[in-house]
Amino acid sequence: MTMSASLVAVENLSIGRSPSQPIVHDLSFAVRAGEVLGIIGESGSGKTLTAYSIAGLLPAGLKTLSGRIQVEGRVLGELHADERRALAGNRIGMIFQDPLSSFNPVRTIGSLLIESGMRHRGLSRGAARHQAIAALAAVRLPDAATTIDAYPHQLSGGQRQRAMIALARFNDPALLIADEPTTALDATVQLQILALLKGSLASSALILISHDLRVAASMCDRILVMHRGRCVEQGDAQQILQTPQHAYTQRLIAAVETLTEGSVPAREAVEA
Amino acid sequence: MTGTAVLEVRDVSVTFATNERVVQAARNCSFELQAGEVLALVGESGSGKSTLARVIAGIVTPTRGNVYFRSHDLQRTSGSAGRALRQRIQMVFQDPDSSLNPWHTIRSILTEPLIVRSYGDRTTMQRRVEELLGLVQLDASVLGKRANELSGGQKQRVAIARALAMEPEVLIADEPLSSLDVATAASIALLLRDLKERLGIAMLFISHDLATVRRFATRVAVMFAGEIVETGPCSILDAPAHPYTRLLLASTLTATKRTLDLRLVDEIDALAAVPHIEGACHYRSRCIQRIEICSREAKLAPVASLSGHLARCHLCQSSPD
Repeated sequence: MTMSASLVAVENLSIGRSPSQPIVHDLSFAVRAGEVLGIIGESGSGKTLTAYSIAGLLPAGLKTLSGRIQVEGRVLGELHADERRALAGNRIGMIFQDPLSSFNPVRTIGSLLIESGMRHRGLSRGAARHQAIAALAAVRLPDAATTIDAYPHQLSGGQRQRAMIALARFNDPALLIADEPTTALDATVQLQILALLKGSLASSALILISHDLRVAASMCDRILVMHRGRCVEQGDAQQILQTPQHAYTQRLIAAVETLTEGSVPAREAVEA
Repeated sequence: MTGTAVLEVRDVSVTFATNERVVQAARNCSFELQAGEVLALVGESGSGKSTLARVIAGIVTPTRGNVYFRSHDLQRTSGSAGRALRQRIQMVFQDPDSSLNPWHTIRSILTEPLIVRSYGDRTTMQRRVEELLGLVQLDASVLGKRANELSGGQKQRVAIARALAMEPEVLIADEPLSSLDVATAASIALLLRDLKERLGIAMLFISHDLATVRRFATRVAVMFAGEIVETGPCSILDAPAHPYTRLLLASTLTATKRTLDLRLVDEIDALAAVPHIEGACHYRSRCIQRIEICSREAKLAPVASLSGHLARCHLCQSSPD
């Protein structure tokens, strides 16, 4: 793949507090327009930090130690803070695991959408509100004209995640990043949310962070497997799921088979 | 009640009242649990699974109905006799971070239940603590550590060992795998199965993941809106009778499923709202097959094909009463 064809290009990225203790180590990958890349691994493997660094959302104290991140050909490290904010606001949409804790509880769903449209697209308040209602209807929230004035706690978990998706894709971003978007949801709601994400892909690429291989299997074109801050394997999703090369990936797949179907692997196979 | 059931839940209903409304968390739920079997309770959040678990564990008092442990009515047995019975029913919770005190050492977490049941002198208790660790495949080196120094999987093993300290005949596991990584979840699932087989414990396994239930449970009870809507041996999942069980199965992802089949979910989304009718089938508002008769109460009744298979649906009951 040529660099110019990729929407996101991450080269030799290391993240951490200090160079002596990188949490994410020498990671390289690319995401093409319209593609779904799954980053899978267990908690603490660095998958969330990697995705957050692309959106410029690294927690305080953590920084990019080396390497570079390009989004639509622009190198993040070379941008001014306001340019980075504009890039994150316009071109990247974030979907977090638990929308109850990522929405501001004292702001209505609509006020967030309206602010985003006014700030990043220069819409008037009236136009932004009009578009916000359309965006909530597009994620199939019932009665969008009323829901726009609802507070997060007034919605169910599935509805909040729909509202989060509406907000993430409101400015028509080139990239969506979804961090465990269905982990907190029931199976039937999970299916609807995954379908909604899939339906958003005509215009956006998606980085899907998940610990659940089953979610990755149903959604991803390519998969990157992380373990202890390093990429242990990446490539075509089907190829990785069917013929995993790295011992860690093999163990993950064996664990899913243990929990669901197929033969029980030897105990050694599932215990790290 | 049959002689072999360790636990019987009979017509249990639980009603919670808040200032705004009254919630029926469980409605007329009945089931039995035999030694050495795993009964899975499945259903969406709010369907009443955890409420039933808490009734059995004695944390919640049922509004109506009874729980029998070895034929003793737990609601009518109080004092030291009641405590002795309840000790044989133990519970493992979803999140070991909130069920273990992070500042207590593993030694004190595991010794405390032994003190409660006056297990013996210090040496005897120490030996038992080591045995318990062995049962959950933990090394004695964790004894001096505090709970917050352990990994999620290790903590869940400690929580299981603490439950085993009471030598339970019934172990209630409330989403014991949900907060764990897949590899850890798989090893905890294997551990629970191993313990059930070695110790002959009857297990109530609460889960929202039908794929895991299918793999580890012997029987299943599917809950919706506080009711058991379908129950039977796990093989009923190959030919589910209740439309809600079919929806749950259609929503279950597998590692080999490449496509999301939304037909059922879309059809349900497209359903027109129906007026609430007192006593009507609770699933009616979401049922794509609903007909006239569904505005009457559906009873849990045998499904013809398989013995022990019951469903609460007018449509799959062979002979109308």
